[in-house]
Amino acid sequence: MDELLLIKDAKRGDLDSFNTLVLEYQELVFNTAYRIMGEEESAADATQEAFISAFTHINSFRGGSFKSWLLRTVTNACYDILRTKKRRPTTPLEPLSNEDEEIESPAWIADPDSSPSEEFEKLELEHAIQHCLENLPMDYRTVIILADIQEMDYMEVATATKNPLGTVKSRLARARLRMRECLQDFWELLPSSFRLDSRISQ
Amino acid sequence: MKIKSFRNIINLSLYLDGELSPSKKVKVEEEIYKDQQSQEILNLMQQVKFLLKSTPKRKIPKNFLLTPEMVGMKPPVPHSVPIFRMASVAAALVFVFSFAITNVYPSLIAPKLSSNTLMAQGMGGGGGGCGYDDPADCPPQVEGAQAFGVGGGAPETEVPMAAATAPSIDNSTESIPEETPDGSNLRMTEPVPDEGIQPKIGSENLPRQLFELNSIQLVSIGVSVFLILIVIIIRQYGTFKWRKRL
Repeated sequence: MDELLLIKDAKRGDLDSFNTLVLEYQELVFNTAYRIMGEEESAADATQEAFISAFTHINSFRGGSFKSWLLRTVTNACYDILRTKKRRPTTPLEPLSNEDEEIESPAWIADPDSSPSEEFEKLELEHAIQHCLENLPMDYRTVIILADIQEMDYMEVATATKNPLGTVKSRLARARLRMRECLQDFWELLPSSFRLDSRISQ
Repeated sequence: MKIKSFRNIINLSLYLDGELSPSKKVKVEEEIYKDQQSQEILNLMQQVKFLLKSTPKRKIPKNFLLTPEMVGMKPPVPHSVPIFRMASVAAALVFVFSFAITNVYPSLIAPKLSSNTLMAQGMGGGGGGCGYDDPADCPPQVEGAQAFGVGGGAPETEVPMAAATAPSIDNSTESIPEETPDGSNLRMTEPVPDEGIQPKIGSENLPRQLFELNSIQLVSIGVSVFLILIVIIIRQYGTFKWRKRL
């Protein structure tokens, strides 16, 4: 995939070329949005909004990392949705099972190849991490998601968050410390393979 | 144990991510080697990083491909559409002007026509007929009298105005005996009241002339409608092709 060529075509209004980029990045964008929002539906909304915004404003992309530019768009979309939600808080509905009972974790995210215990471990871990991420201030949350979950380098994170490099460095260090503190509360819940050294935690 | 400064913690975080310069890296490594707290903080950060890295990836709930509607794109207008549209408007204008001139403002063209033409069209001519469908309804005519009047047909030969001194149709309201061809029976024709003629002229003949379309009007309105249909078909086909291509 020649990314630059696709971007060039998209700038001329070629939707097909842009959709090729969407297919390439949609998982990354959605996962980033999900970690920031903590809800699948809102994350999907933010992802769609981000792609629409990216296409309509693609002429403002002046080169560099397209991934960072795209992640900045999705981060902004997430902030917008969170701001709107703060103004109009709603109670999210859990998906329903076949017996019309609310299920806490959607069954469709389960990996059919893994055993039930592995699946449970994964869910436990995911819940713990998500809870701690949501407890972080928004700026710290975005930085740690991009750096540690999406494994972007500092420069890319700085571009995506529109922050100076020094700010990214300090926020990441603080966010890591805060995450560690938060995960203490889930010590019993964390699967054994992910447990941190108890000596350090004390 | 000495509490590490935040600057040191940032350095440890940078060391963990391999973001330190070689000289700084050596310094931090020395510190980690000497100081147990630095080691602990580094381990702590390393574990958090590992934990976050191993966070399961969520499957996307749907494809986020964009459609033209989402981004407000409209199908391109085929090149021929503006031409057909303008032609349609021109044909409609021809119809409107033609209709206006011939029906709404007939006085604009009337003075330009000669009296002969007017007579040929039956306007102002008379003497020949009475305008009734059934000739039996016609008022009696005095022999040799040829008069011009409303509702009549054009005379076959032009008669000088001076010759039209015969009694007018208005004078024929009296009962005039009429001789039948065989001359045996005299029949009294029904007197035709004045008010009986006026409605016939005003209510039947005049409206029919007003809303009759001539050939130019018919052709122009037909062409206009046809071109509008062509424009619609071309646009629909263009949109269909555009969607198919997308």
